[in-house]
Amino acid sequence: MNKELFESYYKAKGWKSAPFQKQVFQAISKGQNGLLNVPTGFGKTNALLVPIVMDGMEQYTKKTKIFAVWISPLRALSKEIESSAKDVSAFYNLEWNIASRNGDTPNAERQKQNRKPPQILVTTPESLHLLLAQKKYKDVFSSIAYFVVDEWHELVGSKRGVMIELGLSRLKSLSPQMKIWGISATVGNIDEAERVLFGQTNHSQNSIRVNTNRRKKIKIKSLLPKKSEEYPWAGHLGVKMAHKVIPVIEKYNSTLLFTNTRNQAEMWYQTLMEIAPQFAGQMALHHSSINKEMRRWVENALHEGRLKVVVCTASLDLGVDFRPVEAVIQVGGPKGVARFLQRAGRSGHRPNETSQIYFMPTHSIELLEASALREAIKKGEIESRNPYIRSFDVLAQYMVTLAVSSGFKPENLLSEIRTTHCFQSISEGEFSWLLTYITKGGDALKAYEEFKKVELTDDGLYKVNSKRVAMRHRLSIGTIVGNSALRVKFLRGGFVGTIEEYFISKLKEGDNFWFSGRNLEFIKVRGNTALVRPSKKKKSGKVPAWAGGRMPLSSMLGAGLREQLSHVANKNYYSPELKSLKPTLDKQEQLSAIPTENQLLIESFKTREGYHLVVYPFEGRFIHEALGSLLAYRMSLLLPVSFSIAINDYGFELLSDQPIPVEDALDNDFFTSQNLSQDLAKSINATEMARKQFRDIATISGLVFNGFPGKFKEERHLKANSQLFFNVFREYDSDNLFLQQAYDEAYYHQLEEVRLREVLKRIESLDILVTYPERATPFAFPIMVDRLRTKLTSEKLEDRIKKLQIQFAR
Amino acid sequence: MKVTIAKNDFILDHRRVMYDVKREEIIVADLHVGKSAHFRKAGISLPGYSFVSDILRFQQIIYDYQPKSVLILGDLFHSDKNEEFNEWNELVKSFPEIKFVLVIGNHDLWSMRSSDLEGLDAVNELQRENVFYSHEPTDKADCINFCGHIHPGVKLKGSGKQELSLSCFWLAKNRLVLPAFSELTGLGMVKPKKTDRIYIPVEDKVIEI
Repeated sequence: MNKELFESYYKAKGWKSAPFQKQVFQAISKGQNGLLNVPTGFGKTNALLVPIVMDGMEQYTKKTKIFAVWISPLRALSKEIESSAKDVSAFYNLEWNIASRNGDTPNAERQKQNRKPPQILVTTPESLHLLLAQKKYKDVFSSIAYFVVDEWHELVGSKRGVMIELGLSRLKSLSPQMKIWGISATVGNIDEAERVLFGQTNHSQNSIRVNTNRRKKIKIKSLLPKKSEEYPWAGHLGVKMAHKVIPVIEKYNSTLLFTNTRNQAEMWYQTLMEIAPQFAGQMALHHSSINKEMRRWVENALHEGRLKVVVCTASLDLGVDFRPVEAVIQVGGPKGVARFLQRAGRSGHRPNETSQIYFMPTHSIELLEASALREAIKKGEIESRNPYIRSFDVLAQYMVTLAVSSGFKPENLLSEIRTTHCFQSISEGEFSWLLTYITKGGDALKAYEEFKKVELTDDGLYKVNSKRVAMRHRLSIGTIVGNSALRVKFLRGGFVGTIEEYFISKLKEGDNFWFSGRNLEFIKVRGNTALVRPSKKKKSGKVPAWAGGRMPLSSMLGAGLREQLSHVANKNYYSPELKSLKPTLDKQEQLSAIPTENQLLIESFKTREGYHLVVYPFEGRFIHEALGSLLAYRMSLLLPVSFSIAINDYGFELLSDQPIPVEDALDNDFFTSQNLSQDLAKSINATEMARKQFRDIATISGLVFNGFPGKFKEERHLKANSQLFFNVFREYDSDNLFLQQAYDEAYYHQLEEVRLREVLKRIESLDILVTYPERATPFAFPIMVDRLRTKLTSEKLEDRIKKLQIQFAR
Repeated sequence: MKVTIAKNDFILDHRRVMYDVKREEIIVADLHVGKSAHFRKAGISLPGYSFVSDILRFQQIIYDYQPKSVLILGDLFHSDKNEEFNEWNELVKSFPEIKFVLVIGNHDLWSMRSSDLEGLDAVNELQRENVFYSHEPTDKADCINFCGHIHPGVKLKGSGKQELSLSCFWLAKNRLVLPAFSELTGLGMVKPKKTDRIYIPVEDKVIEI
C-alpha cells in the first residue's frame, strides 16, 4: 500500500500521523493481525480505519459483501465510528456503504442491510450473533477481510467476550484470510487479553502489538466538605452534597457527571433541576434504560457543545469522543483504577490535553478510596480483567444460533470452538452433553418426544425446524441478563424507556414516580407496556432501581485502602482527603480502633437488631461474600445458629439473634486456609452464591425464557423460575453441566479461590484486633444498612420458626 | 396435626394435603400435573423427575390413609394433555375402590374439553352440609369455604434480620385455603389477620404459628 496516500489523509485534516498510526499501517500492509494498546483520545479509530479502507481500495470487488466488521460494545460508540468510517471512505473516493446494526437499528434499516450488506458494518457482540442466526450468513461473511474489536478490555472479562471468541472462530473458517485487530486500553493482563482475542490459530503467530508510551495527563480533585461532619456515614446517593458540584459545572463549558447506577443518575438529575435551575435547558440525563431518541439527542447535543452538564452512567463510559467535554465528575467510589481512568478520559479528549476529574464521595469512608486512587494512578497500577473459560451456557446458546440459521455438523463445530481460549479444554463428553441438551432437554436418561428445540436431520445436520423456537431463540440471544422489563409509554403516545416489572408492580393507579428525568403519573399496565402521563403533583415520587451488578472493589484498590488506613493509624494525614476525613476517623478510633496494615479489625456489639460481628479485611465485596459465608459456616458447626450476612467493599457483617462466640471462633482458628475447598463448597451450598450465578446461566443457556415482547401475558405460564431448576438439578441431576458451571463461576470468577487463599494467608499473618464498641462505628454503619443480605443457618427449621413473628395484615 | 373445623376433625399432613376423618377423604389442591411436560414441549427443559416424585408422594399418602375418596380442589392439570397426564390416569386406575372428585379450576379448563379421564368425577363446585368446596376462594352465606388456587405462603420475620417464606394452610374466618401440592409452583404471599390461623408443613410435621 502507498505510504504517501496514507499520509495524505492526515495532511488533508491538518494533523500529523502519530508513530503508532504508522506502525499499524505497516502491519496491515504486511497482512498482520494486531492488538493496538493506546489510550482513548489519541486517534486509535483512524489508526485502523485508514489502512483498512486503503486495503479495501485494492481488494474490494463488486462481489465483496461485508469487507470489515467493527465490534463496539456500546451503542453510543457505534455512531461515532460509523461517521469516522464514512469520512475516511469519502476521502478516498470510495462509494462504500457503511452502516451500524445494533438493538437500536430500525427494522426497515435491517431489511435493507440484509438485501445489500454494507462494506463496513459497525455492530455489537449480540447483533453479530443475530446475524449468525440468519440463513444467508455464510454468504454475507464469505469475503470478510477485517474483524476489529474496539474496547476489547471491556469485553475480555465478560461473557460478551466469549460471544466474540465464538463468532471469530466461525468467521475464521468462513474466510481464512480474515485479519483480526483489537483495540484495548491497558489492563493488568494485556498478554492474556491478546491470547484470548486471537485464539489457538495461526493468527497469533502473525501478529503485532502496537503500543504508545504516551500517557494521558490526569488531574484529580476531591470535592471536600468544609467539615467532615457534613458527610453522612453511610448511603450511596450523595445528593445532599450536590451543591458542591455547581461551581464545577459553572467553571467549564461542558461536564459529564458519572454515577454508578441508573437509579442514582435519576436522583442526581432531579436534585440538580431543583437546586440549579440556571442550567435548565442545558442539562440532560443519559442511561441505558432511556429511550434511544432521547439518548441520541443527548449525544448529538453533547457533540455540538449545547449541553452544560449531562448526568450519566456507564452508558457514556467508553471511548465516545465528545470534544466539548472539559471536565468529569465522578459521584461515589469508582471501585477500580481502570474504570476511574476510563471516566477521567472522557474529558480533554484530544491528544496532549489534560483530563480533569472531580471526585465526589457519597459517604465519608469513600474519601479513603480517593486517596488510594491517587496513589495507584501515581504508581501506574491497573487491574486485570479475567476472561471467562468453559462458559457452557454461552456455547449452548451459540449452538442453537447456528442450528437456527443453516445448521451445524458436530465434528466441525467441536474442532472450531476448540480454537477459542474459552473452550480449548472442552471434552467430547461435555460437548455431547450439550448436544443432548439442545436436542432432548439435557436429560440423557429419558428421551422426551416433544422436546424438539434442535433436531438431527438425515444428513447429519443439527437444525431448528420450528419457526416458533427460532423466533424465541433470536429474542434471547445475548449474555446480559436483566429482569423482565416493561416499556413505559405516554398515554398519548411517545416511548419513555424501560423499567423493571417489579418496580411497576408496586405502583397503584395515580401514583407518581420519577423516570427519564420526568415526574410521571402511573395509569395502568396494558400488555407489556406501562401507560403514564406527566404528573401534576409537586412532590416527586419513587425512583425506579434497576438490578445491575454492583462493581466490586478491585483487590488493587483494596490494598491501597489498607495502606491509607495504615498512614492514619500512624497519624500521617498526608493527603487532602485524609485531612478532611480526620474527624470521622477520630470517632472510629474513639469507639473502636483503626487497623494498621498488620492488623485485622473485628468489632463485636449489640443493638436492637441483634448481635453484630463486623470484620474489615478491605478486600472487595466478592471476597467478603466468601469470607463471610466461610466464617458463618465454620461458626454454625459450633452451635445451632442463624446468620444474616451483609457485605460491602470494606468488610462484612454477621448478624444473629443470639450472642456470637467471637473468642471461640478465634481459638478455633476460623480464618485458616486448611480445608478451605471443602468448607467453601459447603458454605457456598448453604448460601446463595452459586444460585446467583445460576440465574444468568439459566437464561443464557435457554433454560429460562423471558417472554416475547408484546406477548407479555400469554407467555407468562411458560416463565419458569431459575431457582426451581437449580433446586431440581441439585437434587436429581448433579452432573448437569450448567449446575457445575454455576459452582465453577462462583469459585473462580466471583470468589477467585486462588485469591481467597492468598487473602486467608495474609489474614493468618495478621494480629487480630477485637474491639467491643458500645454502638455502631463509622466503619460498621455503611455495612449494616445494606439490605442485600444472604442467609446461613444450622438451626432446625422448626426451631427457627418458633423464634419468628408472622407478618399480619395491618 | 389434628384440627377441628366446623365441628369436624381434620388431619393436616406435612405433605401438603388434608384428611377429613369423618368422610375418610383426602383433600388436596393445585397438583399442576403436566406442568413440566408443558414446559418441555415449549422447548424449555424441566427435568421430569420432579413430577414423578409428586406422583410417588401422592401414592404414598393414599397408602398411608387408605381413604374412601380423594377430593381435588382444582388445578389438577396444568394445561393440555401430555405424558404426565397419562401417569396420573395410571395412578387413578390403580385405586379402583377410591372415588376421585375434581372441583374444576382455571387451569383445568384448558384440558377438560378433550379429556378422556377415567375414574374421575368433575364438578364446578361442591356443597356438602355446611362446607362449600371450590377452586378459587368463594364466599357463600352460612358456609365455610374450602379452596386452593392461591398457593398460600406466609413471611416470617424475627430479630437479627431473620426471614422465612413458607407454604401454609391458611384458616381464616369461614375459609380454609390449602397449600399447593405441586413442588413446581410459586407462593402467593398472604397477609393473614390476627384472628386467622396459620399451619406450616415443616420437615415431617405440621406446626401452628
